[in-house]
Amino acid sequence: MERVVIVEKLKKNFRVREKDAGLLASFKSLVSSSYKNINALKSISFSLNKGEMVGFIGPNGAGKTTTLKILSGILYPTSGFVQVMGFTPWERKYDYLNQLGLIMGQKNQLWWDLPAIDSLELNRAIYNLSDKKYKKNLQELTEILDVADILRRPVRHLSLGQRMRLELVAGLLHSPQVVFLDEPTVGLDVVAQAKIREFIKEYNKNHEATVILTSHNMNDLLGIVDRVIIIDKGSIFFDGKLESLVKKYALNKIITATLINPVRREDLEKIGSVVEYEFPKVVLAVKRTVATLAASELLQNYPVSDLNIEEVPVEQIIVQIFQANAEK
Amino acid sequence: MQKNKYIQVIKASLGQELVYKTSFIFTRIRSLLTFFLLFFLWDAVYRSGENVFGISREQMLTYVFGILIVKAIVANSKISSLSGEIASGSLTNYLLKPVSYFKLSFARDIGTKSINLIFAFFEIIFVYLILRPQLFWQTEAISVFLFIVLLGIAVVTYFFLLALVSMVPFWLAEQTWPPVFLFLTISDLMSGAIFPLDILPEYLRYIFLLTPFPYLLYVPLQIYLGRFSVVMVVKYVAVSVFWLLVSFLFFNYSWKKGIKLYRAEGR
Repeated sequence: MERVVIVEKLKKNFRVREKDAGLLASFKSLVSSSYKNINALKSISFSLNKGEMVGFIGPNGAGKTTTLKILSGILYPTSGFVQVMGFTPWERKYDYLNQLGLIMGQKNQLWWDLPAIDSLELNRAIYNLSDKKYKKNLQELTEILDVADILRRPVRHLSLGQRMRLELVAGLLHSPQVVFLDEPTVGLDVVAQAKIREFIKEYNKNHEATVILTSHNMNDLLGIVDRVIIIDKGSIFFDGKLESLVKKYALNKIITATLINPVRREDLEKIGSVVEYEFPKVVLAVKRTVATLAASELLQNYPVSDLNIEEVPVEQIIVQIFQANAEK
Repeated sequence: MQKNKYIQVIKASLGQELVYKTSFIFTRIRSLLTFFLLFFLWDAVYRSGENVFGISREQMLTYVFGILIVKAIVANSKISSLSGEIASGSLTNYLLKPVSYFKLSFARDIGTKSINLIFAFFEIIFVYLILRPQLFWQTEAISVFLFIVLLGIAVVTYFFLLALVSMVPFWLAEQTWPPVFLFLTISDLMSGAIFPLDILPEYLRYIFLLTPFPYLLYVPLQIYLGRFSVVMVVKYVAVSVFWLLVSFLFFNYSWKKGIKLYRAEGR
């Protein structure tokens, strides 16, 4: 398999100025400013194969966006080795940029005062697209994303969801081989989120594009990526398949039962820890190794009309991991 | 192929200029008002005599008309928006694309300058018909030629200098407009956009001529007016080229340093 993205021991430090609140502190900062070093990335390594789609997940400020910015050649790393499609990103060779797309949910590349079609025309010129390719790509993208009727409206008049779809058109017009998407669904409603997720998956398949998708929301990634990289405080602490994440971190399974007669909470606690109890529904968390045992115990001792054993939702596992990490 | 790209950019951005037509019209009105102010000021000064500061009335009024045109060509660049783009992080949009930010800006400037020049031309015909001043027409081809060459140098030098002060936010994130504003004020004063430097005391004029600013406006116009000896002309052309190179080197060095500090932050 061809490795398209290679990141080894990547570090990035920022120097930020700090100032206390208040007028006096403001005057003080005129004379001498205090600086603080922030280690945004502490030696991270990973690689991606061609056509692979990976979810990058972590809380705000974990280092997701910083990683994508370095991979796109906008930021210079403090140290480490990075190669994308054989290029060193921050050299910003045109051959590299021609095959690269970075789309950020929080930023816009479209001209605010102009209709999107003007920005797209400018991109056509910048990427030197032939008329044929431009028309083909534009038609394909506008059709899938359903934006044909808003192309000629000034961007400032559009809703966030419409704008995001047009951002995707602008970012993918040159059909990049490597695509980085930074929180592409941020601020969108559920329907719009689903549309964009579906589109990204389709683009990845149809173009055999290598894709990194970041999010602080696991739901964004469920069902569209197999592999996730979990990053927090500048370090990666999980990189692998979603299922193995569950096996590694989900120590418990969840038993949901519907009782026929009320049972005392203390008695239920003997079987597993009670997460939720509102007669007739009871939710128990039990060690995954003894889950079947606990279930049969429940069935034997109490009349139960319905019983279900499930994995802990991925979202919850990740929240637990981040909380544990925050307490460290 | 490459050349084609930027020509397409000029075409694409020319239409976009027209979206900001109010801003454009206000710029033209401001420049016309400044012109009238200068014109009536000098007209009043010359009531007392035909020769002030060693400049004839004809030459002075031509200088004032010249400012209108030369400013539209030289001191007219959108590269100052770089400072805001660094601070807001929208410079990212350009860094991501196979395009040189500066070539792109320069291509856009050419578009803007052409439109401005066309308007300045009509304004001049308009005010000429109203005021009917006596103007000085340079007949020596070599002076006109050198005037045009120096204008070309001035356009590029001004671009590099303004780009340079617009890069300040790389180092001081909060400083977007102040450096640019200071630059514009100083350049207006020292380039001779308000008055020809001849009216200054000798030592001040000398100091001003040590900076790059007079070579942007005053020197080209004086060459058009034929007010320099051959030796002086040769010297000033050489100094103009010198400032062009120096401003380019500083510009290039600062960009390479600054872009490494670029944080691509904010929204």
